[in-house]
Amino acid sequence: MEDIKQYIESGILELYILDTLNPEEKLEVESMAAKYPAIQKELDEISQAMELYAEQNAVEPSENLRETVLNQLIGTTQEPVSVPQKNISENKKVIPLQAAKQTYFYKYAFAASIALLLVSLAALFNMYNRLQESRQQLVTLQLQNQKFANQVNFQESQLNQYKQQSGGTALQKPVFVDSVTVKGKTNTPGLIAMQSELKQSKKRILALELQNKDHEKELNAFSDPDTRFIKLKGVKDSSSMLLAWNPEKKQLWINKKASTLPANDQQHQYQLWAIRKLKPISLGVFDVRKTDSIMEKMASIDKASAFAVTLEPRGGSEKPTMKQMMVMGFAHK
Amino acid sequence: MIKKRKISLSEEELITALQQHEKIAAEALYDMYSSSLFGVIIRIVQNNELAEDILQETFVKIWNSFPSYSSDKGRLFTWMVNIARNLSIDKIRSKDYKNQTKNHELEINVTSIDASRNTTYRPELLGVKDLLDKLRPEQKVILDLVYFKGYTHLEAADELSIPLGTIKTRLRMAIIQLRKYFN
Repeated sequence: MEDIKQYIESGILELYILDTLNPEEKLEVESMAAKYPAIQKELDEISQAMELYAEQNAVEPSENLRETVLNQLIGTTQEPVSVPQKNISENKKVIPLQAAKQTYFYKYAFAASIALLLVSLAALFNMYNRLQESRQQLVTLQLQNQKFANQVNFQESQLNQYKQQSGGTALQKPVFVDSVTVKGKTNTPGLIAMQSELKQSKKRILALELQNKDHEKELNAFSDPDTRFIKLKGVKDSSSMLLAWNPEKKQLWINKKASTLPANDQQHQYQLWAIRKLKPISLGVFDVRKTDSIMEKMASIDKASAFAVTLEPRGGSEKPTMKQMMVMGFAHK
Repeated sequence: MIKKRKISLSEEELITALQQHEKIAAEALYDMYSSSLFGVIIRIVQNNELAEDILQETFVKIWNSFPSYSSDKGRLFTWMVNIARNLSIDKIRSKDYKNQTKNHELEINVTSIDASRNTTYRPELLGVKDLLDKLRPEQKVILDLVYFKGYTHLEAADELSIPLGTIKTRLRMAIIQLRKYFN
């Protein structure tokens, strides 16, 4: 017993636990421990203390290491002990991947900011150009303004000359007048009269041009092979009317020159109807007067079995007044 | 990242599971012992990356050579920490490592190891300071030199110019203080 106590106190058990003994010494301790429970107990206590000491000095490895290690352990279950070296090197490949991911993120972020910068620069450049353009326009407008002012001054001086020549009476002769109105600058009645006259003639010209265009359109329509002419015959008398209808282009005119409908009064108007699937559809109202133009365009329809005209109160009705049906004609060829 | 629930088994359960190479054994093994083993490894090699490599190597070796472990011989942790220490010592004594760290003389003063890694101390363990108070400096130096630096008691005696008998006694005294403290 005394020997055992001495053996324990020699410190060899601590060295055994710390694994610094040579193989023979180790075997000796192991056989002693097997023989004497007190020695085994001492060994247990020493190793327990060292384990707790290690726990107190524990350092957490990085968190991603857990998965790496576990994958390796579970993946290498059947492999021999010599394999680890290889596995370690494989693992070394795994760890940088994490770092690579981060670099990718920064790469993308960097690329994105560059792209953003380029877009901003382009937008800035565009804005600058527009600004320049606006400035130029402003200068042009100012010049024009100046020009107008000059012109007005010139006209005024001319007017004054005329006034002096004709003793201040109204002007008859045309002067160089533009349609520009200069607020409060010209109070001369002659000039105003001239300006309004000019305006009116311009309007007339415009109206004529529009009419001309309409006529052109009509001509075009009439030379279209799809345009059909339908004669509506009088229901009560021998009056008649002619329609020009282009179902493809949904165009419809009435030819008043070729119609013998009596002129309507102020309270009534003629109304044109298309009959489609036995239902009347209004295509609009029209007047017949002595001074009428030849063609009048009406609303149109692509399909119809017949057309009819009724005399309705001015403005037209929702449903045709059958008693007042004037002319009618079928659409078939 | 929030720490995952750690798996913990009793030593007996763990040993059984390890013998059967169960998946849960690997998880429990890692969760229960990775930080303790890493604490030992990193103090020996003093390089985080290298220490993590060695920790992996340690677990692989534990896993694959588990049949050679016998609970009759002693605690599981003692067996494991010795694997970790031996792998670490092998590494720092290898030609590779020595070439890498030519300029880094192995520190004798073990306290500097911890000073350089003071962020790894776990402040939640309020007892540590207490323990350090109980452990006399000359005891702690020898204990850490052997346990955390991988010195043999012979090397420690040589390094500190202290007779071998004194090394042994101080080591024993230090561990007795630990045992008292943990009880």
